[in-house]
Amino acid sequence: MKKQDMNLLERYRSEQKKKANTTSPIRIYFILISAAILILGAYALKIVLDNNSMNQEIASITEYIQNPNVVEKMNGIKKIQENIKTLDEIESEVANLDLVIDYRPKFDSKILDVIYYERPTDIKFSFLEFAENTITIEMTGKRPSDFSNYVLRLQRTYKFADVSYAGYAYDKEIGLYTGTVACIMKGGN
Amino acid sequence: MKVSKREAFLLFILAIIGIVGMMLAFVIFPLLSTNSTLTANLYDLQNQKLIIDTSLPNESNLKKQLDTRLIEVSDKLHELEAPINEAQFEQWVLPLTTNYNMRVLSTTFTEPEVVNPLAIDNLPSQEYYAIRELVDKYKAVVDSSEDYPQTAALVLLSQHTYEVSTTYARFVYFLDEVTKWNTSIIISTSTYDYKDAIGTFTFDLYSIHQLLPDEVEKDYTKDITANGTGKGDSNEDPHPEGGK
Repeated sequence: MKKQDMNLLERYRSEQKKKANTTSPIRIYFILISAAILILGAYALKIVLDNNSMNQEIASITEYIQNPNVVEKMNGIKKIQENIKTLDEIESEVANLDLVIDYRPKFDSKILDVIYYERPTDIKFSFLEFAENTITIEMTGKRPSDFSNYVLRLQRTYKFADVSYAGYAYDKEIGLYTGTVACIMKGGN
Repeated sequence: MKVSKREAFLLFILAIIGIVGMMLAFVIFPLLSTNSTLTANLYDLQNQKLIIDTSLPNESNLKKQLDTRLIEVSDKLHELEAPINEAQFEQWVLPLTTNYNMRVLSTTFTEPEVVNPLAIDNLPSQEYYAIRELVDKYKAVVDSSEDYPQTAALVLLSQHTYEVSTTYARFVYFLDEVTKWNTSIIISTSTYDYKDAIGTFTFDLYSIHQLLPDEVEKDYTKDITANGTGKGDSNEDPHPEGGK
């Protein structure tokens, strides 16, 4: 078929125009690389600015913290806080200490009154000892029943944790029974 | 040299990886690392500043709190005596022995040692066996033998023993006088021999170092004159309460 339009110049121009309108890939790559550099650069710049701002703030706070007046006052406060803590430790260490000391059985007339007035008439004391919260009484009695009566009387007072005796013996020289009664004291009296 | 489209694309990928990688490695990451260090430093400093800002206005309150606590804890410490030596202790006892006309026969003093004080030295012995335990369990018996105050604190203990010649009545009066001291000086061991009229007293002096001086300090600066014959009044009643 025979072509009617033989004007190739127009067609050439149109193609050149089309080509000129199409961006070359190299240019696109260049633009993309530039964009990446710009974005990263901007980000780096932001971080640099942030860091500078933080450095300034750090310098400002450091100056405030290291101010000799502030340091002196804070050292004083720290010492006060340490002392309060030490006092707390002392208090916790001595907790119950006074209770323990106060609870120790007191050997005085109150307990000796009980021992004295509960004794049967014929019981006579010859030696009294208080040691390790136990009162040990060496005594003499006319009858063998005196010791058990005395121990039971003392037990009935409930003033002692325990009252006991380990026997008695008849002493021919004095004509009396001798024995020893042990009273374990309760604390807190 | 003519570069094909495919080669150009590969070169672009290489370039973009190289440039981005280099920027990350040599610019962004170091900056981020510095940033995180600075952030941590700033956080620490802000915390310190916050502590300072909250502490400084409280300085006077803390001082008041310290003063109050000092008095409270010192009062607790004063429940026990401050350490005293044997010569100072004599100034507690000899006026009493003189007052009751006791003749001091001998004394022994021990150096302070560190001890853990016990409320009770001696407990009644309890024998436990299977049937008793079951009976106690059935009766819901609670073992109260350990029901007394205990402490883990260590204190100083010195023991001073006096042997005196005295009547039984004065021996008892002396015991009561020591109880009235109401201090951490207590009689832990004592004996009385009715035949020879000789008594002994062993004082346990529990002491701890004090924070503040006692409001009523005992005066140890004056000389004392101690004497006694060991005699008493025959009318003295060691148990005047009549047992009631």
